[in-house]
Amino acid sequence: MVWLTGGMFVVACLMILSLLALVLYQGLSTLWPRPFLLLSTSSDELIAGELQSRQNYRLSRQNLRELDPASQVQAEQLLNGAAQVNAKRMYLRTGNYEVTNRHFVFVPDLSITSKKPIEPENVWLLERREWGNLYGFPKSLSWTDARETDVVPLVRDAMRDAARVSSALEHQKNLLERTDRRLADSRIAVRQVELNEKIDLQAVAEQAIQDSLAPSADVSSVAAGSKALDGLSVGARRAIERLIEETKASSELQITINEEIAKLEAERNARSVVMQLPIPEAAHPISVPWSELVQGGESASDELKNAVGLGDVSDTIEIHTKPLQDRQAILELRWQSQPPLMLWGTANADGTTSVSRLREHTVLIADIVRLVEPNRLSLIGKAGVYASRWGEFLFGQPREAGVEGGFFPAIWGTIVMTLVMSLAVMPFGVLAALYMREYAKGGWLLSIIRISINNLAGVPSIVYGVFGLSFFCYTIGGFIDGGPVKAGFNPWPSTVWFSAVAALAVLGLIAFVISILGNQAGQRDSSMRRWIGFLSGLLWLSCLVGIALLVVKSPFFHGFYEAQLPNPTFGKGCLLWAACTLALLTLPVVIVATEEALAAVPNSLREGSYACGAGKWQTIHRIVLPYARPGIITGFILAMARGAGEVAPMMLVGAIPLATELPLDFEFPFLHGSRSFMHLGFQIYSLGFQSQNSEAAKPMVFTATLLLLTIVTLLNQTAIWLRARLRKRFQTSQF
Amino acid sequence: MTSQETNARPYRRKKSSSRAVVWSDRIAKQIITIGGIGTIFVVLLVVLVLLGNVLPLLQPTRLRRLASVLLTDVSPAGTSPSTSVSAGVSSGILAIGVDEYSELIWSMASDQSIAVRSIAQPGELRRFQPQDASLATISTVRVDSTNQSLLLGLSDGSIRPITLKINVSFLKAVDLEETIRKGLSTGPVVSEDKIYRATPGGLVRVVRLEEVKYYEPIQVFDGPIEHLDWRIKVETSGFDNSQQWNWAASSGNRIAMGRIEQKGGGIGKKVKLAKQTWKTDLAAEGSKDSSAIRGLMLSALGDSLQSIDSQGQIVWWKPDDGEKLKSTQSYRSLTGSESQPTTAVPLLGRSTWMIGSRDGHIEGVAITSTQLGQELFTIHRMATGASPIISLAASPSNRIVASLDDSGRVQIIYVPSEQTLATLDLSMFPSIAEGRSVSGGTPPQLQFSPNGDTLACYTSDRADLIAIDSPFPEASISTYFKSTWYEGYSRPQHIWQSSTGSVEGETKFGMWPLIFGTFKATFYSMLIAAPIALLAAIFGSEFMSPKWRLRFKPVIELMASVPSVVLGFIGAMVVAPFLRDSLAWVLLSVLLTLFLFLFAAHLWMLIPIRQAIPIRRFRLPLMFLIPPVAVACAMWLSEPLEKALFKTSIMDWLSETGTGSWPGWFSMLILPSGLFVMWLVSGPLSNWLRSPARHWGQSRSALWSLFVFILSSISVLTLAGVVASGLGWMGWDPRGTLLGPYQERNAILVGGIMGFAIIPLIYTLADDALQSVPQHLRSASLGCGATVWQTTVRVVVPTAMSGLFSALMIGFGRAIGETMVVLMAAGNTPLMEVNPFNGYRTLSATLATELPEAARGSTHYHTLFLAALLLFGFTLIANTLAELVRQRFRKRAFQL
Repeated sequence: MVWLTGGMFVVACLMILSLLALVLYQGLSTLWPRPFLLLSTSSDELIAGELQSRQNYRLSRQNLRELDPASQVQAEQLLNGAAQVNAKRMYLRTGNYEVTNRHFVFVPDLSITSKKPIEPENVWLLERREWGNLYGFPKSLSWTDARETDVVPLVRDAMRDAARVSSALEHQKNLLERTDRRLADSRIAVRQVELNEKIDLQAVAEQAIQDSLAPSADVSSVAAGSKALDGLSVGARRAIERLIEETKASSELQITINEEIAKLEAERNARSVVMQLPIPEAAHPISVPWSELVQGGESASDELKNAVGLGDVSDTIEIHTKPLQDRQAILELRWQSQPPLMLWGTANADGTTSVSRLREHTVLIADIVRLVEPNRLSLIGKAGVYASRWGEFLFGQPREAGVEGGFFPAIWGTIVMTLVMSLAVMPFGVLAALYMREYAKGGWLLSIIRISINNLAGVPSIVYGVFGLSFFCYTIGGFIDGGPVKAGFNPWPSTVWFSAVAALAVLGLIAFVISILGNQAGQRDSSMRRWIGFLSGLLWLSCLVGIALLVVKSPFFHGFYEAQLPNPTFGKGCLLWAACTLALLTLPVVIVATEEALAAVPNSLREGSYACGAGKWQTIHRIVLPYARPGIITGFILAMARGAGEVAPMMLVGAIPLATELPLDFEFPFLHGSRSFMHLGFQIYSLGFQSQNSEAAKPMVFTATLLLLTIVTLLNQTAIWLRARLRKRFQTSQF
Repeated sequence: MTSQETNARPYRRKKSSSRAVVWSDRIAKQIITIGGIGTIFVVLLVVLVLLGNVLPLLQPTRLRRLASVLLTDVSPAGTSPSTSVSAGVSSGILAIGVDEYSELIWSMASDQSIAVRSIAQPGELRRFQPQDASLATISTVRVDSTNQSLLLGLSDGSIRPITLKINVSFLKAVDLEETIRKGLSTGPVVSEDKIYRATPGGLVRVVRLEEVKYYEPIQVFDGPIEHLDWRIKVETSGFDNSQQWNWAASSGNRIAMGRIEQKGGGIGKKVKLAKQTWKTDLAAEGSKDSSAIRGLMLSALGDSLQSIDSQGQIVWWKPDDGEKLKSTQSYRSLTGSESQPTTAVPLLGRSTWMIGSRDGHIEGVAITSTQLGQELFTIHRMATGASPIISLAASPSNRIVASLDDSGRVQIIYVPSEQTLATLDLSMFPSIAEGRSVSGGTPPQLQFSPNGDTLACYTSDRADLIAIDSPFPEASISTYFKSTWYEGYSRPQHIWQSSTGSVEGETKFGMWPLIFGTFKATFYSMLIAAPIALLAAIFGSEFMSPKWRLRFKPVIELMASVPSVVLGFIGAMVVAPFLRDSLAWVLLSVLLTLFLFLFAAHLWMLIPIRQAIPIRRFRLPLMFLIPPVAVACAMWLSEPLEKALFKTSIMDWLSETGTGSWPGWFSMLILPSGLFVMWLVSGPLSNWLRSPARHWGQSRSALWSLFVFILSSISVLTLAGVVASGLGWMGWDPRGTLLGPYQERNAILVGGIMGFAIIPLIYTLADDALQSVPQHLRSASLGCGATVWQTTVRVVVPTAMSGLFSALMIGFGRAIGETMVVLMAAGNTPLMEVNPFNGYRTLSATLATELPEAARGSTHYHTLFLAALLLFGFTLIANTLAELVRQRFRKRAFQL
């Protein structure tokens, strides 16, 4: 039985170790460059791709039908009557999605007919901004007819140029966006005036804009000359003048920016590289015997030139043949100072040959993110590519709806959200813990608080999400956006509201008088004092409730963002509410840790402080809190670890799969609480389970998983380490 | 104080605190107290917000009488002698309709003219007349309120469609005339034939009946049309607007059904009409019971027809390739002795037919899917009272029917839950009383407005409008927690299907599948996690050196910190395909691991105690070797074993294509019979088994116990085999009940994955509980000669029992609320099967997937809050139980 208990211990340990090993292996190996293979299958197909892995799988009667007829026969023999048998297959990343309509392919070893897969030297892997990876052989460059065999440096230079052009383009587009936003802002300002003054300005504004756009009109004259503006208030006039100004400015600016954009785009589109994709196109029969072609004979070259349309090239071409199987080969034609041309040759029944060109495809240089020659890379080169991919993953923007490229917005969103959350949870957590440890006198109140906290800790995280959605997003957010009506409260009529204000004022006065009475009477009679204290407390509390009610039922407040309705600003899931929800979720963690830290402060220290004449707050502020600080920080780190890994509530209160804007950036007011954001954990869920292309996203999701696990584990281990240190310190400092 | 020493003057000590200190003290106290007590409010707030979103569901349905509109300005009719039960024929008003804002009401008089009135103000706004003054009188009318159209059945045997165009526009107040603008502040303004009303949004709504289009009559029979049904399907694609009208009409014993297709009603295009008709004659068909037809109902697609006769016999007709209707089925509804159908209307979606009877019953007859195919069956039966139902109306926006009985009572019934939402007695209103009396006048009829929130009850000269305020008709205890008979199902069931493809679909809010899924997830997770965590905690606390224990604890804590989204992803993407491909291997690995641990323990005993003590520190590393060995053995053994047991594979066996039930029972019973034999060997039989070895030396008794172990292992297999064949002989098959076909995302998978989340939680808490057992108890037990194991089982575990229990409860609470793992790896199908190899859907996963998409304020939205409240309640119970037990435990531990 001891062995059984030990066994369970071992099983638990092995479970976690194997999980870690799996995540580590998958996460670390995803970005490593892999060899590119060319294979031929028994259905005479050319299959090419980056070798992701070799896998074992069960070949059974069910999946037999997915194979081509030739390999089905083979598989039947292998099965030999059994229901299933172990077999191997290759998992290849084929890329070239717009041509092949697939990203990945499984090739069972059964259907591979080539003796040995070819690893062509000059194959390129282009990682692009759109459509994913492209694998192929370079054929020609559009901007130069440089007679150089090695065109890689040329393309790299062009990519650098293209990056410069792209950033200029980006800048211009940003300018355009900014003017648009300013225009929209001024429109909202007009709408706000409309709402405030309950007048209709739209027609006036439209007319004024029409006037201002007419040639030879300047702002002041239009504003002054327009009769429509006469009867308006100063605010309305100013808003419309601003709108006119912005419209004029933006219409002028737009012309220049658009011109600039057109110029840059022309420059951007000028440079492209023609690639040959490993997909054979129509075959040309030539009369060269197969055997001669395979040996690379001289006389074959002229025939080949004619067949593939290189008739006027005077150079002799060198033919390099790589046989795939008995009757198929990849031909590589090399001639002076050009990238080699790749062909696909097959033997005809009469001993002659058919050659096919590979499909050509033009790629804009500006679309290329990274150029890799997978089969030429040395170990150091591979490491370089690996590092550059990690760099992009950590600091780059997502491409292809998050399936490729960087996770920076998600990482940044997680970090910002966690920080805002810890800022929100800090004061409340510490206050509650201080109250429970230093101020509360025990009794039923304290035990209720303890039960509350225990229950808060046990509430499922999704329930917090539900709560956050209803309370923060819809109620508070709706209130901020559009006042009580939007938040679902019926405002009182103004007469009722004013009488409520009066009643509340009276109530406040009574409470004030009673508490002053209590202070004076309290010196003599303690039971009287307790009673009055209770009464005044009750009165103050009802005042508080009354004020809250007044705010909620106010007929005069229409929200801060009324002009933008019906588009919600805070009335939806966003960073602020996500942080608040998570703060609530992690509150018990902070309270428990802080309380533990406060409890660990030796009482002798407090007593010493009191003995020196310090007040209670002075003692707490100067002695207890500094002493407990590492413990409190431990609590925060634990809360952050919990918050960073929590996804379920995020799905309801603000995480989205693709956000164009960051929650914290260089734009005023820097922290944008009303923006939705991307979240690392949510990204794992949405990419792995909700994206259209979840198979292609899988490697990236593994990398994101590794990152998330690393962050959470690091935070947790730091907390554990801090706690251990703290314990040691207290052990030594005990009197 | 040091600064004072430098002061030249002698320091006089201040006896009182400075004001700043006192005030900061006071302020700090207030703030901290408010902050501390605020945490209680936070918990309260969570409960309040959840409750605040659930309570609206309890809101009762309220009926309010809006207005009574006199429909004949000249003189009340009520002189017609007709007493027909269904749509009445008289010289007065035959049909009415209300627009969707309940502003205007139109009424059709017997001369086919349509008069428009404002509901708020008396007087006719406009009257439309047919161009051809057709001589034929109207014999029956059918109104389609959704599409604002009606179908007339004429006494010359023809039918005539009429469509109305009600235009609603929103204008700014400034654009209106001065006179209208002034009047708007007090209420609606009627000007010409338009009705203006100020909306809360600051605009003015203008409602107007713009056009009435009378179509050419279509000749169907030579006698008067008695009953009609009429269904319009509008398809708008781009600028094209094609309509399909299906109609059905009866005259005497003859039924006809037809289709009119109107294609290309787009701008500037000519409307094409295509017509097709099928007919049948009950008498000619040789139907022996050819009583008069009492109602007709077209199916949702318009491709079949049901008729009901005066005996309650429902016949299902389908058109054949020619021009004939063929009866495919008949069903006798209203089986009560004297119940006869009085009126029948199709429910929204046209799958259920609501039939009102003479004895006050309402029956819902729907097409149900059974093993024999589609059959008609009574799926709802409601008693409204003893008075005959005189009119029924089905809401065009939900599954509400309104019934009016002979005593003048209007009842609003939500059909799926068969609950009466509200009742209103109309008998005090003179118009109804007049109409109802047998002496004269047509009986009152009911008609819904297009969006279903106004019900009109009209007689030949007057209409009473009743506003129905029923925000959540679906919400009731019986919808959520009782099995309900839904359309298309063969029996009442608990089903969760919150969103349907169209408005007409039936939403199903049965909570049990979700609750069941939640507890299934928890059960299988605890089944896997609890033994591992508890046994591991016992080992860690009692048998490991403290140094190693502290070193391994972070590893387990690391497990706790893995975010559940990572677990879910790994589970669904890596473990699920692996488990599918090698289920037998995994199951065998588990059994072999257990067996090998026990076997290794017996081998270890063979080592003489003198040698065993120094090599004790190698015991743990040795243990780490065992699972890999077991997995390797299982890989080697699983294939031949699987083939031998299940003939093909375990998957095939599960999906019931394999052989008999024996192999399944056998493999399921190995573990229970193992536990049983273990109990026998260590319990009742232990003395008997140990008696021969009592005086033997250590090595000999170790050999003996190894022999006993092997013997009992064999007997485990024998026992399992015997019981399995016994069960098989009795004809019990686990498939279909306990087991079932394998799904890739299933309960076993989630149980294993969720173990990662629960094991560390239970482990840490259980470890704490075991550690807090006072050391002197252990010492005393060991001092009395008990072994470490005996001490653990007899002393430590019982003492820590309540702590262990509370650890389990907290793990249970965590498992109930876990979201991401079940969302990603449980398949999310709301099934109610115990089969560990298929998926389920939990409350938490439902919340995560459906709440972002639920429309705010809808029944679905509030129902999800009910789900959240249930979840909250379950965890509250688990946590409070754990807390109470822990407090008791703490007290007891304190006493020791």
